[in-house]
Amino acid sequence: MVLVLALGDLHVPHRAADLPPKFKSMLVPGKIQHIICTGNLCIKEIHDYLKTICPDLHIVRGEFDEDARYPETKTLTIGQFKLGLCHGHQVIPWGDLDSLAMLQRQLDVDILVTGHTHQFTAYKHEGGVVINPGSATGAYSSINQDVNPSFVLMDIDGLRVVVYVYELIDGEVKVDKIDFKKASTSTSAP
Amino acid sequence: MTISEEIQRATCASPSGDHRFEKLRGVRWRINLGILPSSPSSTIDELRRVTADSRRRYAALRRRLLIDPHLPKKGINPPDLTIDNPLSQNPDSTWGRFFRNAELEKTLDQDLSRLYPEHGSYFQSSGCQGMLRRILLLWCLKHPEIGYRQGMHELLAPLLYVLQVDVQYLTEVRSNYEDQFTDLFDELAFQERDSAAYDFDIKKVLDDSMEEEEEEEGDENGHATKKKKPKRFDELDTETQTAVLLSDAYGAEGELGIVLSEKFLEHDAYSMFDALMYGGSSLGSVSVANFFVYSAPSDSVTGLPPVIEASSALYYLLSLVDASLHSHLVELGVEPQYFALRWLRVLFGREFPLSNLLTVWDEIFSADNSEVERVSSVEGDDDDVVSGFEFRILSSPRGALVAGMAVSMILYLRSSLLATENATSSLKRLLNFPEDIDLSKVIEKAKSLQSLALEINARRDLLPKGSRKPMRGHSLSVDSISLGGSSSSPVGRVPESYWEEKWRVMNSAEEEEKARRRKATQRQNTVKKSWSERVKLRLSRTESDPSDRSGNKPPIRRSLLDDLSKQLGDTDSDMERSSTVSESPSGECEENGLDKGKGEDHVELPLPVPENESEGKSVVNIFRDRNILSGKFQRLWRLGRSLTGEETSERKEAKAVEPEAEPKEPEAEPVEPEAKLINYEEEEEEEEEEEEEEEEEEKTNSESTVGDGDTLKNTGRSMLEHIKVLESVLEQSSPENMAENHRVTVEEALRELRRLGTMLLSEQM
Repeated sequence: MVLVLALGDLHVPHRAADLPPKFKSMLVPGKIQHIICTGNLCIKEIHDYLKTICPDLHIVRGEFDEDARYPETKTLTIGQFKLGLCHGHQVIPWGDLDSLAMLQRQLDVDILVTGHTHQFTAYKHEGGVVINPGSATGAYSSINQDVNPSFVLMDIDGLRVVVYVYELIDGEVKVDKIDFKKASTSTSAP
Repeated sequence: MTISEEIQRATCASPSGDHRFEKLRGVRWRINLGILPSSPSSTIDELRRVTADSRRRYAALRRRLLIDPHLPKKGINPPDLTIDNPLSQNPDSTWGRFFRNAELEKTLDQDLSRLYPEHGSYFQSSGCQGMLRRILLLWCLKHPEIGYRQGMHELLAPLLYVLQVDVQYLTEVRSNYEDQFTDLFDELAFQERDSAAYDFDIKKVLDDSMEEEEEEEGDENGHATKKKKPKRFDELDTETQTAVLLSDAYGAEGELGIVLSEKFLEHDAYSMFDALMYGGSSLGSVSVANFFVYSAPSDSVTGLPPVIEASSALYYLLSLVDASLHSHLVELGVEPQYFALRWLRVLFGREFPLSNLLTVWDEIFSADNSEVERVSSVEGDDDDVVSGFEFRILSSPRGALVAGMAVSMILYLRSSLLATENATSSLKRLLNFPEDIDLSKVIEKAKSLQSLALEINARRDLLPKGSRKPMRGHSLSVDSISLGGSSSSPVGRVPESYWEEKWRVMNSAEEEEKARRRKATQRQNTVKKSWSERVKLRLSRTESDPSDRSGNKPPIRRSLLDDLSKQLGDTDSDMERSSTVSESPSGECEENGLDKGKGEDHVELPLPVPENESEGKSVVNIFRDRNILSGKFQRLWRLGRSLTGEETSERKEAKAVEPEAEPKEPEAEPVEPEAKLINYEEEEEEEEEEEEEEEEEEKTNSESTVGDGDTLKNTGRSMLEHIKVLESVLEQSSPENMAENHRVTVEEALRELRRLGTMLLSEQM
């Protein structure tokens, strides 16, 4: 029963000061096993803060990140699932499902997590899941001024993943949940 | 030790009681711990039912408390996600509970991974560890007030182990007597039977031989020799029979009731653990959970956490048995809880290897866990009755045995402990109990100590006074009574209750005397002579060093003080003659008064036995004397007041009565009323003096005309003053710490009184 936190696009300190306090109160250390971050933190302090929540932090480079050493894409395996991570500004049109699916096939992952649009989306597509956790701070984007802070928590348990979406709407945290079951793993691809 | 050796061992240790389950330690322990019905007459069926019930309880508990957040909660459709999400801060959410459990499990795992590494093949196996973890987790969740403490896993492990041993035994028996276990149904149809046609009993009718059975039972490790298998069920020895019956899948409650069942090891272990931790319902029984508690329970007498209390009980028992070792340990500064904490919390689990431990626990569990009936204490103690003993651990046989076991272990190490020079090495010795010991001897000693412990706990007066919280608000004299406690103690130290009783007897004698005195004629005590002798004896001793009489004096003195203050306080209301106290030499009394003044050692009232038992009689006198002294003071006071003109008709009446009452007193001696107090040289006939005193009073009363009255008044006044001085000094400082100046004051006052008295007398004359 692995809990994986997916978030990104914080844009601290340029576009937002910090995570909303209600989110911060929920993110206590010890519960979460992995954090995957789509990028655009932008500064090291946020990196350190995320590290305190969970030491296992995976992060990819967004266009405003100040640390240039982050990779462009990343893949990792948690339990039975393969996860792919990419910021999303590289995929044009931004946020387009088919293009993202192309990336998913490219990376050969079950779950693809991207950001950049600052808008939460989650698609079940071709046997996989494409998730966009949105912006955890509610920072504005070039395509969207009015952004609700949001992030995603994935509960990976065997062949099943439950995706919890936390959104801050009108000052209240709203939670939603999506179940996704993976077909049993096929034999190794040729 | 392999399992089969275990089984052999189990057969050797057979405490008294139900002999049906000698080889089945798990069943025995379950009976002793109270999970299974303990009366020997309970049938296998009843056992099965009780077992099934306890297992059901455990299963329900598990369902309730073990959380799998993925499973939808019953009754809530759909679950409220704002509460039930993994990050929810809400303490009620399933996830919250899940995380809390996870944390607890982490703590448990730390301990479990280090459990019994020497028997790792069993204890470190994942199945066993999983079971232990779950059991501990559920128990801690069920008892959040204690939670998990290190050591609980060590208590649980042997319990699970013995159950496992039982199951293995069962499998062995099974393999030996396979045909006894087959379902009879199979063969039924085709067999001709002379008994009832549908006999579902598993007893078969075949021939057999007894010797082979014995052979087999004795030789459990190998079945090398070929034997004729025992054919008839009822010719199997009872143990095997029991084993068979206990494992029958078709008995009462079906599979759930199989008393020796592998499937339900966890359930049974949980019930055993629970019973061990929260052993008895009564106050005194051993509940090991109490040893894990840090604070004192609200109804404790001593106000100490139970572990500390129990540790001091150990030391107390040790001090009774082996004072030199005890004092040595105390000198070194070895507090009992340093080692006793571990011993008690894990019930010696860390001190003995597993096989020895099982024997020890056999003994401990077979001891009854209910509180022992206390000897009720004598009259007058009601205010003082506390709800429990000083040492709660000692108030049940099981607790006493635990304490006895601990003390016997300490005694086992006696020689090496006495040789240690500092606390560290002693502790090292105590905490590393040697492995190769003669366990049976230790256990025997423990049992004898157990009986001692139970005995001393039943006699409250032997308990150390220091820890008793005073609960009485009465005057000191009542105090002295109630401190006495039970008077039914036959042997051992002669407790102060002996003296208290004497006093009480004296007191009641007093009352009688008083009554008689009013009308009775003067007594010519034949006793007088002997009294006078004793008086002289006393006199000589007064001159000598007072310290050697400290044993006798102090109680009197203290009570004298008490009585004095009390009685002087309420003299007004008391119209009775205090003179009735009399029968015995006032001389002694007066000596006491003076001795008080001299400030001899004043020992606390709870008094160890005075060595000089020969003084017994004189001590008896002392009690009388005390009363006498108080009476004296009273009279003196009254006299003083009468001299100052205070007269009441009753007094006069009383006085009038008196002279009639003693017409014939040979009044040889000059009598000085107050001098009676001081003049100890001549005081032999107490009664006479009293009479004389009364007469004197009367005389003085009748004579006190105006003229004489003044002088008398003055004299009386000054006398009163002196008395007051005496009082105040005595009140301020108890004779033990009477300062020099006080002593001087007192003596002066007494001297003055004497002078005045003489003066008065001469005036009268």
